[in-house]
Amino acid sequence: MGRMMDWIRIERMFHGEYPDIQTMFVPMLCQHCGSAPCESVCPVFAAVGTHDGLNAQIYNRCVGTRLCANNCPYHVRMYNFVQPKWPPSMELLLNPDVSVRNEGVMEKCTMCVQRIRRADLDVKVSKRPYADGELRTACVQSCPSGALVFGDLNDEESTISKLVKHESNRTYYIGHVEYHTAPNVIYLRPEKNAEALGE
Amino acid sequence: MSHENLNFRAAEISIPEIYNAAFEPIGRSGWRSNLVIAFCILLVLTAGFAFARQVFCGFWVTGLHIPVYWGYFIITFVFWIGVAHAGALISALLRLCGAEWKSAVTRVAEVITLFTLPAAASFPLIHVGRTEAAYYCLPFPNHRLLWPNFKSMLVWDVFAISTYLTGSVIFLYVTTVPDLGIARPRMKGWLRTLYTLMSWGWRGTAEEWKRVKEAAALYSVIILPVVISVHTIVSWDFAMQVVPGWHSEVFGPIFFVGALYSGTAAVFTMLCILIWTYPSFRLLITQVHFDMLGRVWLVLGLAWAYLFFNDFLPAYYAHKADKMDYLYYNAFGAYAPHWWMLVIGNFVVPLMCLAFQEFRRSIIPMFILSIIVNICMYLERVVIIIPGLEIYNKLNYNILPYSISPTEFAIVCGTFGWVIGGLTTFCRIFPILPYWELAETKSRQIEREVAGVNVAYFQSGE
Ligand code: SF4
Ligand code: SF4
Repeated sequence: MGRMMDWIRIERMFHGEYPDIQTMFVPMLCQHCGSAPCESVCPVFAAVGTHDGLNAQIYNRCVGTRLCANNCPYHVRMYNFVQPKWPPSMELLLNPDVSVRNEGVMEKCTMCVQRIRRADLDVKVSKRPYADGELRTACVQSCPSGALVFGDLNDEESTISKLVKHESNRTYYIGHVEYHTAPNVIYLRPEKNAEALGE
Repeated sequence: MSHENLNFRAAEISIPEIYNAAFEPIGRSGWRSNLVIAFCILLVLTAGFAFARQVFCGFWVTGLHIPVYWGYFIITFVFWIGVAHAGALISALLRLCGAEWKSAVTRVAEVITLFTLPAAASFPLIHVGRTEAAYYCLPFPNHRLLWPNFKSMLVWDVFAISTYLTGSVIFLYVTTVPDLGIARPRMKGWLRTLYTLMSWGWRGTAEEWKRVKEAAALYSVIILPVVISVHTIVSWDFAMQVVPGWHSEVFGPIFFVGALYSGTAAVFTMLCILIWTYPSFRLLITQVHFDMLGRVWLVLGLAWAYLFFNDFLPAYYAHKADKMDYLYYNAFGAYAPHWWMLVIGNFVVPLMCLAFQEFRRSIIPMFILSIIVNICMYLERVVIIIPGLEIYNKLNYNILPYSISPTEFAIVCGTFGWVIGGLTTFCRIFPILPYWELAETKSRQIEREVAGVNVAYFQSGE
């Protein structure tokens, strides 16, 4: 019915003419845009940019106008059409750090904000600098081939900064040219069709 | 056409006759209006039930799904806002232009605003996911010191619509007070109590008349910018988005002119129904009104047609791909029947018919035409809102089309019931024709005759 809720999904993208077609799999999640089209239209500041570059979604504040979802060029905002229900015995499976969303609010990838906050606190409490790779989002953690990398772009020495610098001919942003969204998610072109897909 | 052929009977009727005609329906009930009101109450109750079900069950009872998150609720919202514009245009604009023929139609137009605007304003509340939290859009003091987002057009909507609602209610009320005061001594029972309370001790002194007229003139000036801003802001709900087909620079004027166009159509429908229900109104609403208002309508129709096609021309010249996709999707895709019907029914047919005075003066064809334009303006909102969202789906993710669900249909019909039933009830309680303005025009005509200058009551402008 088109009411599924997926915070990250795999888009298939096809390039080339038959029979020479290449398929790419593009994980599509909230791009945490620097200039987010979804933020400016929310009447109640439920979609709001945080100081650390995330695009936060505040479920308690959301009134469900769904305008942000219309305006997100990536269609990553998922609206809760149905009140979520579990058998009582299953409730212990829910992540205690993540709030359960009600029917009638918008939700999306949070960049695992609960892990970011925990790492934040850990660093503050133990009074040490943040170590690269200490924090991984759930999708990064569970991807067996290591296709996803999470890190601090402000830190010159982090894995992700090095990766971006090293592969700079392959990096691209989805949708930035058309919508000027300044995404915080960077994609790398597949090596074999890096030229074919040139921007 | 010379003034003798105007066939306007109000020129011949006396002021007491105007009174009798204008106040004839008050406090009476007939089977026709009873039937209409009963049917409308049924519609509203069904809508209430559907809304309650939506609140308790969740939004899945509507047909909405990603990526079509806005559907018939918003379409009907824009439609009602459009119709509500008739009130301000016809009363304020005609008042400012000093058109003498306006008196018979001004209050009809204002009362249409009175009922359509709440119908429109209810839709944002119905369509948000958490209706109980919708007050977050208002700037109210709270311990977290949170404000609404003043960058969001939805917040502008809240302010624009509430300003317009307040303004138009005051406008209508101020111009109704003299009628209530005049009619009060002749009313009986609860109507008399109501009129006494609502006329605020109106005595009809020269000072009071002066104030009413000043207030009416002042409101006409104040309400016009409000009207323009309201519908422009409603258009910005769409124009400020990145959705193809929505993101358009000329949406402000298109929506504004389209609103006036459909609003005038609604006034025509209402006038025809009034004439049919209350035969005494035939003395006061005549072919001249249809003719004059028909000209205004024709101009609005031309302006709307120009703007509507102009929306696509820059995209065509500039090879703006998404807008052209949207146009092709409209004209040859799933929405082709809607699109071509609206082009024919909004543009070809009215402009051909309205150009002829004979047509503008015949009441039944005008009634049919007004219904056609109302339907086609509704379709215009459909093809503006849904196809844009459907083709804004480049990520080959979900290609389900959107279709209206029974819940949405019931709620949309319920607002139609509220508007029609409200108007019918209003006619039975308050004078729908402004007696004092008609009588004033009439007495001005008598004065002119006395002064030896015989000017036709209604000048056709030819
Ligand atoms: S990807 Fe969509 S939801 Fe995420 S920040 Fe950008 S516009 Fe907002
Ligand atoms: S970053 Fe976290 S919330 Fe976002 S897609 Fe990955 S696992 Fe889901």
